Amino acid sequence: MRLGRSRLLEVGSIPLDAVPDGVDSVLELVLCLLRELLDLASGLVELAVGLQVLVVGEIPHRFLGPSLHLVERAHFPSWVSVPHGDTRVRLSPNIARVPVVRSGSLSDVSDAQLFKVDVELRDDQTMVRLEGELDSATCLELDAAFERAAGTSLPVEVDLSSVSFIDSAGLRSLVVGHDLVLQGGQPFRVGATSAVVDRIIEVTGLTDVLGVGSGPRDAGGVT
Amino acid sequence: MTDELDVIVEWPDADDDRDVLLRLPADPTYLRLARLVASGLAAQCDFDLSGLEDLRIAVTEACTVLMELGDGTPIELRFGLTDLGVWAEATTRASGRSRDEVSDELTERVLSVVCDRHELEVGPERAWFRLLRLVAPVMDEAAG
Repeated sequence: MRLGRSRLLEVGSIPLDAVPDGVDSVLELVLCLLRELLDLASGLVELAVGLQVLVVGEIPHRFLGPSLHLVERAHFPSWVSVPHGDTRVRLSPNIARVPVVRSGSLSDVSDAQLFKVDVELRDDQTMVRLEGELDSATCLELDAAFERAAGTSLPVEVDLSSVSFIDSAGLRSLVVGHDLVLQGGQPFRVGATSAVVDRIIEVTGLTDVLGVGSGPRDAGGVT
Repeated sequence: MTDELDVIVEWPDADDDRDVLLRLPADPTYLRLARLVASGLAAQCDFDLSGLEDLRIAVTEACTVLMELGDGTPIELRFGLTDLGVWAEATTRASGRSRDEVSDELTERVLSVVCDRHELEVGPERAWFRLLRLVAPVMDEAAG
């Protein structure tokens, strides 16, 4: 489904040789380009109607992996496309720089932003960073991240400063993750939060439960 | 949820040419699309940022509940503007699951905060979720 007429507009590019070595599949490459696109697009666009990713041209041999057939079968993989989208990422092995092109107009970059969660293992704690919109479509990723974090047997801190939306499904995942970490005998706390998240956590009475803005909470700290 | 509010705001009972209709696949991936439409409608009212976010959350909750109650058929979402705010009615074909099977204290707590009024109706064939978010809190004005 499309809104309005398509108009191609280049908004940025990323050199192929800048793709991290760990990226070894087409789908991972698309995600890298998508993140680059969102960084470039931020502040440049006025009307966001969504996001789609289209891979065209030959794919460099190093990226040919078992997931390639997914791209060939569906040019708009569901996990990187959003309805009403109008952004295309064009890959080409024949040029030094890969053009990132956008068609149509975008209005609210936050609405086009994918959800992302990173688990970073540090010497003294595990940091879980969330980015994007957290709802029932994305909270399973967070649940899996908390399982990994709990398995590190280190204190867990959650950074919600880049979360642009959260509903009860997202809150529930935070509470479940909190319980999981504490059951493992480790402290859990929510560190930085965005204004959107801070408000809904406060009005639902979860500020103290999740240890928002407090020091590390030990496993016996929640009643 | 209150008698006072019932007097001030009635649920719309007939189609209005200005209503906005949206048909969503019963897939959470499409929740952001419902939020996008809600944001667009809220922009036509004088919602502040908190009100806008409340409406986005409320619509998401309504659709999520119906996706759990429904049989997998699409969610039909109808939005309307009143002089006081935005209302939405979502409906889908019922799966036979009861309200108790999908009810959740946290969801209810969120809805009670972000909506001025909401109600879930589960029938033998269809389920409906209706919500209302006012631009200004009517109850505060009434009380004040």
